[in-house]
Amino acid sequence: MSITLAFALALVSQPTDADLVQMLRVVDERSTAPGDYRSLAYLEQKAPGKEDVAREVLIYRRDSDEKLMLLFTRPKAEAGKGYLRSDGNWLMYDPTIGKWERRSVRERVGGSDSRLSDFGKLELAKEYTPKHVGDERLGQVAVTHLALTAKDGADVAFPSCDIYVDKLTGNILKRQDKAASGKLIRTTYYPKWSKLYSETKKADLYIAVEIRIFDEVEKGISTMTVIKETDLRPLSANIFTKAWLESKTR
Amino acid sequence: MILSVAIRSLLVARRRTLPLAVALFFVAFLTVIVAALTAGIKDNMVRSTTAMWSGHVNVGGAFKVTPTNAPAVITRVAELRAAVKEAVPDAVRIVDRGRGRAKIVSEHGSIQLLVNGIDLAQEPSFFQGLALAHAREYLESPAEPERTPGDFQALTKAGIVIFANQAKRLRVEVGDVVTLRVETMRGQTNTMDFTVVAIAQSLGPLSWLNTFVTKGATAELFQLKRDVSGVLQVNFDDIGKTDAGRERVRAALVAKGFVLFPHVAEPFFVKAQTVTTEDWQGQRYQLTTWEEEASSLVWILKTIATLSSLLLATLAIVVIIGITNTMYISVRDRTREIGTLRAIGMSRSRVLRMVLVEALALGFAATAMGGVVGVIVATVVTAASVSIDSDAVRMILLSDTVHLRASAGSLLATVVALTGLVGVAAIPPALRATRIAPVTAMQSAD
Repeated sequence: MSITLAFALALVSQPTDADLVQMLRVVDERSTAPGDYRSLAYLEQKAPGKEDVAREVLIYRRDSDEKLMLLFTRPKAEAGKGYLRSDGNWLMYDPTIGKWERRSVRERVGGSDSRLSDFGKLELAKEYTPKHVGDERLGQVAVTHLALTAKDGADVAFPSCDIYVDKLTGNILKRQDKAASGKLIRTTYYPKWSKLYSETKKADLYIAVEIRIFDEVEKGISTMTVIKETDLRPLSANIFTKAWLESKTR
Repeated sequence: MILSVAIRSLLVARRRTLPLAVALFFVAFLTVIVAALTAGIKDNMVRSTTAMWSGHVNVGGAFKVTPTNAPAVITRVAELRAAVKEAVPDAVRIVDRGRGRAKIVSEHGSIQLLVNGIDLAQEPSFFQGLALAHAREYLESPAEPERTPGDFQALTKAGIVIFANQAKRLRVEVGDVVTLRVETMRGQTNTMDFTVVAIAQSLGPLSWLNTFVTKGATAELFQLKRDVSGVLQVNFDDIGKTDAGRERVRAALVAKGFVLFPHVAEPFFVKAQTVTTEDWQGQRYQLTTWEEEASSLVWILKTIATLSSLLLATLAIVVIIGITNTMYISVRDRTREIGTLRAIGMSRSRVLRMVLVEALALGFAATAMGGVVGVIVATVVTAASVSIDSDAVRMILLSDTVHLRASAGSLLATVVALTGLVGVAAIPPALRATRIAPVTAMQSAD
């Protein structure tokens, strides 16, 4: 079912639970492709009273195998540091000590508010149970507001969140993650999306090229991720290995 | 008779011996005071550690939910408590407290620390070891600097007690709201808002890292189930029973099938950092003593003990050199006297004893007086509960008042050690005196 049709259906009638799950599946599917994906990203973190910190990161993804790698290339002090997801496990490599350590999907990347889970494919339909809150507007844009509650056993950082999905495009424009107490922890905005045709998917792949995360507990702390130079050509076979990442620092 | 001769000689030559006596007096006085200070810091360390953060023996642990998620909690608390009670029926207190890592956030800043959940119904005297901080200790320019707002007993589920150094960093005062941000047992983020009900005077490094809420609050914050807690703390009527008590608890827990970590003498928060790198799952328990939990404070004691030992050793060496010198002068000035004594039949050994007894009498009298005055001063100062205004000094002494514990043992050790050193210092001049020949007396007479 196309996204527009799915949302159109929601407009004319109160969506059922199944409609909402389907909506989430469509949202997930738009940002996923079976092929490879490489992009260059910049992470900038601001905190009151502290100097802004900027990092350059290479992101490699292979959604079909659920593989993901983040390789820090700048600043020099962090060059060579990386995260690798393989066989369901997250590992972090620190070149200064030459050691790999296990990490969780909730890990804050570079100490910022962005989590490892933010860089992987969306799996909202698998991890959350949706509830329709209403139709609203974000600025000029009409959105569908859904409240999501984590399913039992789901390995997520935030047990509940609200997402605001663009009715026209089906992309998430805003996400509000909440603590177990219900308190708002962070708000994420996705103001810009780009579209690339994926040969393996035989359809468009939607990529959030700008992500702005605002900490709602520690006001003033924000993280901005800008994705540039996305490339969907196949990656080399050994890229998602420890040896490959270690070789980048030698 | 030798003693009366020695005392008479000292009195006759008091212009020469008085400065030495005064120097010995002060060295003995300082030695007793420093020993009392060190003992006082140790008392404060024991008191603050065992009252605030730790039992004599602690049963903590970690529950590994996933390889990367191992919160520092203990499960099967009821079973654990029963096993501990059976192992140490002489324990006077067995309580469980919540605890965990948290980030405390205010409008102006945030700090990573450990949050402790206490049950005031179980521990009504918990806050007796703390004093409310003056407003000037955490506010920039308070209207009433000496005011001590807050009430420890007002700690409810929505309340939090923090320390002055934390309040200063967060720029909060009593009545302000702060947010605690934690990771639950399942690794999810959770937050709770708390109102600051009291701000306590800082008590050293442990108060930089710890804060207090109710046990119910920690259970809700970390989303703990009914039979899960942070730590079980065991206290005895005599702290000396700690090591034996720990062994009994360990043996009992192992016998009942509880899996323990291999023993390493480190606090639980150090162990918690390495747990995720270990390859196991489920619950493991860690037994620690109060000394292990306070190991971060032991460096204070060791530093003070080392510095004071160096200082006192230097002073003692200077005084001993002075004594040796003065005794040489004394022997030289009494050449005729000693020669005469030798001429009328005094043996060399008696001459040696005479000079040594003189030095020992001086040493004993001066050090005993200095030591006794030191004990009196230490006792009076402690009884006066002199308050300490400086944060830095409070951090080092681990107390908000001066606490010096002088003991008969340290007095005796000081007197014996210093008197002995004086005796040793007097040996060379005493030997010189034995070599004075009787003929020297006659030559001096000329």
